[in-house]
Amino acid sequence: MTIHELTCQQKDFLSASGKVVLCACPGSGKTYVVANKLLNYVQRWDRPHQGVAVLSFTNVASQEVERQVKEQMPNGFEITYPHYVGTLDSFINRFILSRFGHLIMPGFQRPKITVRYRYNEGEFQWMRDCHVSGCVQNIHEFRWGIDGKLYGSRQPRECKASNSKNLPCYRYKTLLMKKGVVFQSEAAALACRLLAEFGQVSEAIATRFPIILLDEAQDTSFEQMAVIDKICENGVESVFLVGDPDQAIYEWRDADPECFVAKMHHHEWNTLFLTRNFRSSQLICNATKAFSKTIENKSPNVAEGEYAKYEQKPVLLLYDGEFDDIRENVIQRFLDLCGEHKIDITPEHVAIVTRSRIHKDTNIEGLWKSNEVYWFALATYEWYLGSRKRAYELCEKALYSMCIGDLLGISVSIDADIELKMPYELWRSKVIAVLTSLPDVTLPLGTWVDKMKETLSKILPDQQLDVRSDCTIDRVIRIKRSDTRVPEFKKIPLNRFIEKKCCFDYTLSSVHGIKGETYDALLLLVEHCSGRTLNPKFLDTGKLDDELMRIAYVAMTRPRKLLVVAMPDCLEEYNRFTEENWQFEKISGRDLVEKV
Amino acid sequence: MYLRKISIKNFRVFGEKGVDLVFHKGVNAIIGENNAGKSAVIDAIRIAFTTLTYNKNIYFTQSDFHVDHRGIKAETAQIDVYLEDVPKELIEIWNPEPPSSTGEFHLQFYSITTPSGEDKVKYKVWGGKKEGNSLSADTLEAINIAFLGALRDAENEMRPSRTSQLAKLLNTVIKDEQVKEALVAELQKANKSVIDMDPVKNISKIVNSNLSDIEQEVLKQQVNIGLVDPKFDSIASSLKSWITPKWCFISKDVPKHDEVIRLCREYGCSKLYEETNDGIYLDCKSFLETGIEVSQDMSVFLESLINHTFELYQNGLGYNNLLFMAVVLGDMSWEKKGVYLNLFLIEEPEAHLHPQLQRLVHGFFERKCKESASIQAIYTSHSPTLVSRIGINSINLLYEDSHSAHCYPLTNASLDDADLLYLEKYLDVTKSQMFFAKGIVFVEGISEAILLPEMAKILERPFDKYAVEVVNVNGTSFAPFAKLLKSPTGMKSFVKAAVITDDDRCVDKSKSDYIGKDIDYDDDIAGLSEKLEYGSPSERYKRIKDICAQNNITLCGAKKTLEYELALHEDNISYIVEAIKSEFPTAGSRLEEKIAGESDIKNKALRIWLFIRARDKSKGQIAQALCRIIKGQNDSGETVNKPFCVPDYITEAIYAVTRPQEE
Repeated sequence: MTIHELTCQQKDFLSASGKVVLCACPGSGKTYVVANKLLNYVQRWDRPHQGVAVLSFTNVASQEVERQVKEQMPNGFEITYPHYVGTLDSFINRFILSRFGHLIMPGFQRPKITVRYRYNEGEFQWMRDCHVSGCVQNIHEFRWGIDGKLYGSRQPRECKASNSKNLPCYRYKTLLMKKGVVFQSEAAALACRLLAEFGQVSEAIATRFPIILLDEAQDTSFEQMAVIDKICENGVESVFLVGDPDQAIYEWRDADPECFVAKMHHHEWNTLFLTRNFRSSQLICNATKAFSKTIENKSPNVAEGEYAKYEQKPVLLLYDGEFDDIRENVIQRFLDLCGEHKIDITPEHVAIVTRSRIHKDTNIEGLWKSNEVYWFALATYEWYLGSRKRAYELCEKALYSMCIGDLLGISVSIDADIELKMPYELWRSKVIAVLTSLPDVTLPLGTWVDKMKETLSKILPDQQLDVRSDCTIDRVIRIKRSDTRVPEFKKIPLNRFIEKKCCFDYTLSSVHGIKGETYDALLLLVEHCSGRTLNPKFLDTGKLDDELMRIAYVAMTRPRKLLVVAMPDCLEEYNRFTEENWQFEKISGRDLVEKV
Repeated sequence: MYLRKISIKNFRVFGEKGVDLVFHKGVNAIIGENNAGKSAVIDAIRIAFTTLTYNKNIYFTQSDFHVDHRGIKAETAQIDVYLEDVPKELIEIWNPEPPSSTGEFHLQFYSITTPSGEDKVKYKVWGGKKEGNSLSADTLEAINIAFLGALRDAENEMRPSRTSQLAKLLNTVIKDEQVKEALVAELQKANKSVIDMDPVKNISKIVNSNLSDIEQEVLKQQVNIGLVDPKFDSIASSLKSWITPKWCFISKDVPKHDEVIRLCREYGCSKLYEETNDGIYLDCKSFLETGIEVSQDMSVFLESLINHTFELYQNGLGYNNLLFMAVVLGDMSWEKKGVYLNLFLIEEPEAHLHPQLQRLVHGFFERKCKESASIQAIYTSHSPTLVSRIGINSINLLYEDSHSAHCYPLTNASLDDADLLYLEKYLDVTKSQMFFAKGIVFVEGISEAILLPEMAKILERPFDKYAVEVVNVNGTSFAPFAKLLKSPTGMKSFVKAAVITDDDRCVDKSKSDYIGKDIDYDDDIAGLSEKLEYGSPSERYKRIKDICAQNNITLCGAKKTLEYELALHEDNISYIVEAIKSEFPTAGSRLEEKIAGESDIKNKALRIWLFIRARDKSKGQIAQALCRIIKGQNDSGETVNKPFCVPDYITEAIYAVTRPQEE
């Protein structure tokens, strides 16, 4: 997005300091002002070992900030030391938990932060206990809270057993702590405990980063916000929380938009708003207003961009019958509409989004039975369809884990630990030998698994790589045996299990995959008539502060010119989809489009 | 911020056990015999601080791994750096543990073999206590390090270049862009006026005409001739320093000679010149500064004298070293943003400097370090002069024991403030030599100090050969020295040491063995020899005995005194009497007669002791006279009829400090 002149609202933010919340509506140039704010600081910065931390929720988002900064600066400009641009998770891991976590670990060892952990036999027993009593699906879902208690998902975990310290989950988690293993899901909580107990560490972080800019702050978890609060208490000069509570769609990753909303209403925080939309037409702004909690009792956001006056009401495409039967017709109608509006049908301009996975029946609970098989699957996908660099990293990880040692045992970096065993160049040739023999990514999943086993059985001895005794090929290369919901899942090609977004003539993606993006035209596919997912009734009358509603809102606020929502025609009357704001169309069977 | 401690393992002479060196704010010294590892320590510090940074002139190489006595090369080498007064923002190295002001980082080197069979050195670094935490070059930018090596080339360092110390200083001093621009503008002006001079124009013409002759209209390019590129870098890289002599020679033959003398006399500044046979030496600068009115002619003449200067290569080595130190410390004194430690490492600052200058240099270091909290200096030295100037606590002593290198930070000695005060007062240049010795004999007075080296020769354990130092404590305060030799960790002492002292029996008036102070050699001595034989040593002696036992030092006590012990040997009597007679011809002869009348050797010795006791002030002279006699015997090279006998307790002491290691 290019904005030549800053609006008053944007200027207010650029000159603000102290504790500031910026609530930015879709298309308001949020990343642009964050990049500007950062540049403002960086250009007149004169403290060699203190800096600005610009934190985002995802890598994609923080890379976007960096890209915007570079766009405004001469070639070769980089945000470097003493500043930091990265995700909030990486910030907490790197500067707090990895660096100082030993202070709170039982053996004072440096915490190893991981996503999963391989159970050994004894621990497996405990997991079963917990599983049987119905606490959590997997024992690794337990995580420590700020208060030192164990949590399952969002609720404190409760158990019928009387003495909580003797519960398997407690014993298991205590054992992991003794081993120095910490899950990413509890990293923020532990960091927060660390900061609470060791004020000097909070002070050090606040001294090192006197300015903190947190982008996508609505996606911050309760624990992450507590970490930010702790640093604030210890002398940070300015903190900027930038976000939009209407676009919080990461609850499955513990995002808690209430934290952001609470800050908006807190008297110590100065709350600013960006309500000008530079992306969408006014007609889209008007139509999407009904789905926003933030502007529930306010007027719609004001369109100010190039397409502000674009005269096409959003289209509500109501279809009859089963979605699978009519899917192609719906898409064709949408593409026709694009044609009518002279929109180039390319992945950059046109997107079709769904609530969840873009491929049917690929959401199989507990599909991958080991980290290694999952990494090999991802590596296969990346090798054939994605980035070879990522493929290499994934394959290296899997091979390391199978042949050299536990990834949790890595003290410094994977390269350094490999070098202790063999020269890195030699290792590289082995990894490449495996990469170049990976089975095709379009093979049905079941076939891929068999081929993968075959390949490894041949290549590993060839490359003189010995498999660790608890990592034999048969034990590691395993997937779920059967699934009652999708009995035929092994016949689905491997790539479909991994693809989150794919580009044909247009972009096909889940809503999460297009967050922050802009398209000329967008079609939101609502596939179901009822159930706990996007459905017409929910959209029309559901609670505005429900995450599902925000997912729909994020999708609907992406297009510049043309928004189309396709859903089953199963409502008697419409509440939010008013005729004033929406153009209704019905579609049933092939080539049968009828204007209402 | 300052460097508090460095631990070095498996690096060059330092093996698996490694060494710890402890430093303080300000000036520190690393001392020790040759090949004890002083340079290795300095290099380890340089490697530690520069391995990560871009600007480095030392690398860890394969040959830096320690090779043990079996010839096995260590697989990993490690350097651990501990800092104090670390600001919190250096979060990668700062330690949160109380007092929350320390910091540390670590380097580990290891070797790998590439598929092509080449050995490569790799390293890991980590900040803070836990391996795995990152450490960036940016953090280490907070430390500025300068190094002046033993095989140094101060002349080279001072030569004009983009990286010269002067260029560095100019860059430090000028931060304002406008000032830089002004300098560049001046250079441009100068450039222009040079280019406009006819001879330069001519060169330009010649070159260009030849060029076009070669090119034959192909390239049609013009060449300009001028001074250096008008850029700030050019100014910095052409800066040089030279020495202006204070005294300028004006020969008698020069017509201005007489006029200068006349002017000086007239204005009462005769101190500004010195006459010699060939002419005068004039302090030109001061002369011009007096404001004496001189003719234009004279003024030009004097200016030309001043401008006759020495190039660097004409300076003495020593002076160039001073110049280098002055420039580096000048740069370090200038506050630089984000630099919290300026560490100046100098190998043997005493090289090429005479002792007085060494003391001045040390004083200069101390002042500079005091002025700026960020400056810390560490030097290696063989100079007792420097060591005697530096605080005990700031000395790290490297030594070899059981074929491996050790370090003893003297700050680890269990010395209290009184001990420190005493030692710093009495550790003069001579006594400081003990730090460079392999064995030390502490003695309480001048007589022992004089006689001991000769007696060692008699025993064929010459002190020179065994690198033994005799330290005269001038009294009996052995305790601080004894404590200095042993660290509280119970580590073996860095030298073999012995204390030679008198047991001073029979001096307690309250006891029956007391011998009165007024008895002289010719008095009645009945019963005294029994008192001496069975008397109990003084309390002072017993205390020293305890201290020596605690500190692993051999104590060798004389029954009563050195002179008594010497005289207890029949063969020695004549030599002692001869020595006494050289100082006291009359009384000496009477003493000789008295001794002749005694049959018991104890009584003979008793009379000699009484004689010297009453003439205590001449002890030294008598010892010297005796020393000459023994030296005569030692140097004669022939078998002596009646060789001088070394008393047992002295023999014991000499053997104790000259014992080869395997014994």
